[in-house]
Amino acid sequence: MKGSLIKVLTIILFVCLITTFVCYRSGVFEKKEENKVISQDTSQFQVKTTDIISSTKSIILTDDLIKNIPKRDSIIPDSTKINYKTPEVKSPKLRKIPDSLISSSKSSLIVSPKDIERIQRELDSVSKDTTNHD
Amino acid sequence: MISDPLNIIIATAISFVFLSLIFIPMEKVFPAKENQSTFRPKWILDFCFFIGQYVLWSSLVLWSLNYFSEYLSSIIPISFQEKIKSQPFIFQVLEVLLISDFLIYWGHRLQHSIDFLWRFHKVHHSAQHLDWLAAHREHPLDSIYTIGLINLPAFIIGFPLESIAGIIAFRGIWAIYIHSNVRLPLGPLRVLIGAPELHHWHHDLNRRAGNYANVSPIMDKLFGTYVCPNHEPEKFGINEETPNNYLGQLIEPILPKKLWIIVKKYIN
Repeated sequence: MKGSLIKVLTIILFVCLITTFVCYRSGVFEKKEENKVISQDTSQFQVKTTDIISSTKSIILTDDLIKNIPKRDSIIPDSTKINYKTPEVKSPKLRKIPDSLISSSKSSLIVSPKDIERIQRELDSVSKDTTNHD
Repeated sequence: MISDPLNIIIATAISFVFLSLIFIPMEKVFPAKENQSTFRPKWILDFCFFIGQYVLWSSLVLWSLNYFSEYLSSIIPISFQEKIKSQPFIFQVLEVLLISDFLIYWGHRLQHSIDFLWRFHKVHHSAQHLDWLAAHREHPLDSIYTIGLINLPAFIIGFPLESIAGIIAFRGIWAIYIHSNVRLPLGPLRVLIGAPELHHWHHDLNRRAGNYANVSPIMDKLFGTYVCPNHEPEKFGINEETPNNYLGQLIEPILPKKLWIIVKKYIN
């Protein structure tokens, strides 16, 4: 009885950890931020958007957002929310290696330094947000 | 771009802890070889391969694939890429996965039959004790060959692999699982998805033992190399002399045999 319980618990742990990893990789946890209002304090104005899918892209999006906003907006904040989308630039000759690669048939990199950098950026943005709201 | 060394160390440590947490309980509760301990012989050697893969070689592999990908994108007509991209997304996913499996099946089979490719691949097969850590025993040039081949269809059609990141993650972790010291038959699912008991036979002493497919054994079924006795192989490894240490394992495949005989005196 005790042996069977240990076996069941081990399988549950195994399945849960693999599922968590797969969900993390497929961006399930990042989706939680999709509806989160992210503010970008540029000391002159505050931009709010709800169109952010992943944290990696959010930096590019907010950068473009800042560039695209007319100067007048920086003085008088617009009460109507406008979402700007980054124009897709197709440049086949400059195609770079994707972030995801099918791994070797033997092993796989589970966490890469890029993940750590991304997590750090996320943590930084969260702490900046908290500071701004305080 | 070179990542911050601290981030590399953190990523390596997190991966090691996470993988230990997934696989060690399974290896303890469902062992394929009951007498095999966690810190079995050559554990340190495999640990060196693990560290090497994360700290040193992953950047080299990525750099090579980046170079390869750029070259491919310059020779594949854009009209061809656009034609493939115009198909429904699900077809593109199936095409990429099936062609990848087909390529890696034959690529892997060639590694076992062509001596030049076997030189590098035998490093992986030199493990006499299989577990999740032994999965990482892989020569960096073998990694470039394997990862290049498996990603070739995606490179050719410019398929965004990020869109199937979950599937890729599952394949990656399953590739480690099939090496683990676990025996937990999957029943009828075994036809669709590989299991340790199948891959352990691939690591049998016989160089042409079969089960060459990546994660799903479908290709082995199709091409008649599927092997699945209802017991574990007696011994793992190869019938060849291999270096005992990390440096030797890395150097031996790239040196001519005569030169290796001289060098090995100093390395071993």
